Amino acid sequence: MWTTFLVQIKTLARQRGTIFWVMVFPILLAGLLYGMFSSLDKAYVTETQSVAVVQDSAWNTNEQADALVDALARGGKNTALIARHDVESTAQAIDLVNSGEAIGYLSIDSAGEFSLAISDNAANTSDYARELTISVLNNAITRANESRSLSSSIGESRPQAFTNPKVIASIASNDAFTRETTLTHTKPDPAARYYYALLGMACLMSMSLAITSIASSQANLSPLGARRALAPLPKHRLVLSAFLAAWLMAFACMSIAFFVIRVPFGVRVGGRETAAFAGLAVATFMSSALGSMFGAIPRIPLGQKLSICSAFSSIAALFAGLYGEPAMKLGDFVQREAPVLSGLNPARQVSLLFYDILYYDSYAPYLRTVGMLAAMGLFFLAIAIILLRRQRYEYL
Amino acid sequence: MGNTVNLMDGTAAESASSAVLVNGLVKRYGDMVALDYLDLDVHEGEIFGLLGPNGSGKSTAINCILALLTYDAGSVRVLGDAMTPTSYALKRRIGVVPQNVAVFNELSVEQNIDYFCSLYVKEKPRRKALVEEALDFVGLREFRRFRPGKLSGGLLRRLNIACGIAHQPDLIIFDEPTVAVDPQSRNAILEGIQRLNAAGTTVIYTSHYMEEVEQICDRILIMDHGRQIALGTAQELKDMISIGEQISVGTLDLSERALGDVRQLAAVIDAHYDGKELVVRCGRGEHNLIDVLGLLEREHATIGHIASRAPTLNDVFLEITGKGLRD
Repeated sequence: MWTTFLVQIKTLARQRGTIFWVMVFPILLAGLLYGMFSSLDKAYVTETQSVAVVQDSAWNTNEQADALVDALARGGKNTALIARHDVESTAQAIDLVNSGEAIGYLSIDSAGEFSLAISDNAANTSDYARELTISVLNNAITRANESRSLSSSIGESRPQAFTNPKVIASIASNDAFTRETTLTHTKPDPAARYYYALLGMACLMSMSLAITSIASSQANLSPLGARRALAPLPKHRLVLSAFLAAWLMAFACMSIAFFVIRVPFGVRVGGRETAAFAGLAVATFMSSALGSMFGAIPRIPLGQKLSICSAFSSIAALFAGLYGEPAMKLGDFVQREAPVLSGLNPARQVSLLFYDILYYDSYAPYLRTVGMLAAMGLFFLAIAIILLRRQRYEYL
Repeated sequence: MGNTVNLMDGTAAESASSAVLVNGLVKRYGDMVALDYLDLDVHEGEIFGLLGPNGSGKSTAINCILALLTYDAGSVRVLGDAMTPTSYALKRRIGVVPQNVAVFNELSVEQNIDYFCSLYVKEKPRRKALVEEALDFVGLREFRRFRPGKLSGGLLRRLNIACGIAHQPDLIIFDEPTVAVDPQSRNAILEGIQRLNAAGTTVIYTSHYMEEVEQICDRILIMDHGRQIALGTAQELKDMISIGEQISVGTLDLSERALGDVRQLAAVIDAHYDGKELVVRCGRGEHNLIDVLGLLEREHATIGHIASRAPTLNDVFLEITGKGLRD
């Protein structure tokens, strides 16, 4: 059995076409995704923007104006929200904006409120980081205006309230309006879902290894299988060798693909690499069992089985959201409207496995998905065993 | 050999020297009968030929004997024991060269032979020696590092054979091993089979090439529609039929009267003339050629070439079934 197992490994490893689709193709596709989605990372990062500050008479009479700008400009490169360019008038500020040296200007209007004017170019930017930074600046300025307005109202109606330090602290604090909370185990990575869907598809593609491996072990599936069936080797050993070899090869291919996605392309799994590899072992068990089931179906030529495998993997990957945002929305829609159907999609389950690892604090969702994949694998394997149990055949 | 083959009641009785004994084997594919109460008794140490046209049931019979196919009735004993899918001790003594080349395209010639040998022989040193012998036997030593994809059709067939015989079994079944093989490789294969047999191996050889079967087989079973239609040595089979020889005479000026006279000769079954060549099929007799030539000389026919061909197994098949082996 050991020799048969080794030979099976050797033959699978030398099947260039199969290895290409199982290992090289996902890596190439990951490279493509990396090129497409690398700008997505900026959607969650601020970037220092050049802003002109109009220090006219209105500005100089406002005691809080410089404090606000100092706060916005505090920090180093890309941690400060603005790089200030002090000017004396609105006209000078507009010149700076027109020359492209600033994206807008900050001033104090006639009502005494902070005002941030942004150029059309900056307002309609497709730069995620700039968009996010402008949004944060707008929020900060709105907040400053609200605080000022609140202070004025209190001063007019109940000036004695300022003697209470708690009131002063609450006006200065954001606590009443916002609360910082962490919903995920790690920082969200919008592109990660696409890589996870890719791993889901690659995992399903790896069932082609089991299909070819089983076909070469079964008398009614190939001349090679017939020849091996005539040898004095118990059938269960032959089939077990074929299955284990396919599983090991699938795991090795997927591990390499995952390593490339994880390290050179920098897709995170929240520091839970061990769980990711363990998950891959279970996922490839499921795909190998599915491949064994497909492979064991009689009277369908091997080429057709491999074509069915590719088609099935591609369609399942569609509902896992591999092909862009519309596919992702479609997958989410099916998840919402038909969760059972979505749960039966092996590619989505594999994708979900990594999602669980990255986002959830607890391992419970991950273990639930692992259990689901293992159950699917056992189910497929049971059907494969039923199909493979015969030792004599009606037809060859 | 001491065996008894009772063709009268259609059953084969086991003798001490039976390598394969099949009694009343029936195999149906739906309404189609692939094997129709086939009996077979292959003697130890002989080359036994299964001859029949494509679709006559040869491969089905082999697959039933090897317990790959289920069958509807009958019994099979191989080397004295009932053959089942789990007869591992028995399988160890059997080698099979299947009709389709069945090797791993990803392994080299040597690795393929070693792997298939390893299914039968566990000890590595012994296996190594057996692989070397098999490489020499099929003449693939210089191609040992080649992958099957780099081999010609003939060499591929030789590899297919090497994988089936490397473990030096007592019984080897060759299922149409020379299909799509060039004449040189075919001769090498046939000579190899004879060498194996000379070393004591029992051989079952299936083919639809009558020349091959006639060349190497001690006894031949002719099959059609899953039935045995004749059994014996090549000579015994030829003796079963009425045709003696076929005479061909190249002549351009044979008259209608002379053709009629040829047809009147006592041993002549029929005669045809196409304006260039006279073909005469004769019954058994010692003077057929002399009689025909004597008549043509008397009729002053100009004779070009003359050829006389002894009856073939195709003639046997033709006479029994009314059709040729390659129809």
